Amino acid sequence: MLATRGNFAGGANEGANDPQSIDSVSESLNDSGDSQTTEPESHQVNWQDLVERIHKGDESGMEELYRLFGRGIRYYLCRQLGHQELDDKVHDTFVIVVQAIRRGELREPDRLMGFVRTVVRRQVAAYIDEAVHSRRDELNLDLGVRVADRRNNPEQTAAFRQKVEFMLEVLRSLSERDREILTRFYLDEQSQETICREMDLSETQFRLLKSRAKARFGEVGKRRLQKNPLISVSLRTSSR
Amino acid sequence: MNACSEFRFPADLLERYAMGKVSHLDCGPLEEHLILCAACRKRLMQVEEFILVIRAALNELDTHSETRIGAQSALAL
Repeated sequence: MLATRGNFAGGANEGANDPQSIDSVSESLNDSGDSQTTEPESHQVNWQDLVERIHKGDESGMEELYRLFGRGIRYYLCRQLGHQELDDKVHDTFVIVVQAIRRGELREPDRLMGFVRTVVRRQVAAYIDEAVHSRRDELNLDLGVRVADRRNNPEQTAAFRQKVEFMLEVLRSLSERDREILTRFYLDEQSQETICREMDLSETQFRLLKSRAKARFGEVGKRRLQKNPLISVSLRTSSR
Repeated sequence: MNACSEFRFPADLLERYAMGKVSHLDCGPLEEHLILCAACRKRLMQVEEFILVIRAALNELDTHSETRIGAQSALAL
């Protein structure tokens, strides 16, 4: 019998509290041990053996498949579609992958990662299509906007506001020209080439400006947090 | 979290991906890697958050419109 949702229980409740933001995706992943679990790298996995076990209906194969891809698929689906019915979507995706493997449709086991990605992308497209057709416009699925702002609860809004304040401090400390460069890139979405050409910048200068802004953002956040340890904002953006 | 030893996807690429500037064909290797790598997923979340925050802040500063007005004035001249 094909694995039921129970078989994939490892991450089935990760999104059960209906968090709505990128922050909460991270939190739910962390809550479920994402930061602790050592996920194997692709070269450490014997894809041939894994696919063979799933093909034979071996439960251990399906468990490993979920362990390898569960959080990644969850993250991808959440990023594209939000938290609504996320558990069901993750489950559906796994069912499709497992069924296809059992039918012998995956001829090259080494391409399992690519296959999973294709299935997830198709699932996303299908859900969007369905949403469009059922006129659920309130979902506001804008395919052109990858970075979707899904903040929804007051705590998330407050934390976000605080980060914007940190950023405002950073931006005010920059020259008008530097702010214009960042505006062109992040708001106007002009290409790096265009900005460099029109503002007489080298690629290195452009990159330096961006990384300095990120570093300053991190510093300001850290300084504010030291001043006021009660601020419970995790300033995750690093200057790396 | 285990660090990603592959680290072949630089911050610039993650940023372009987060902004939807990497084509469907070109983002294959990155997306495959993200499905498997928690460390890089976390990096991407940090990049996405930075973009959201800086966009909100830039909007608030109204640099956007000032820049545009400046550019339009220059063109008018």
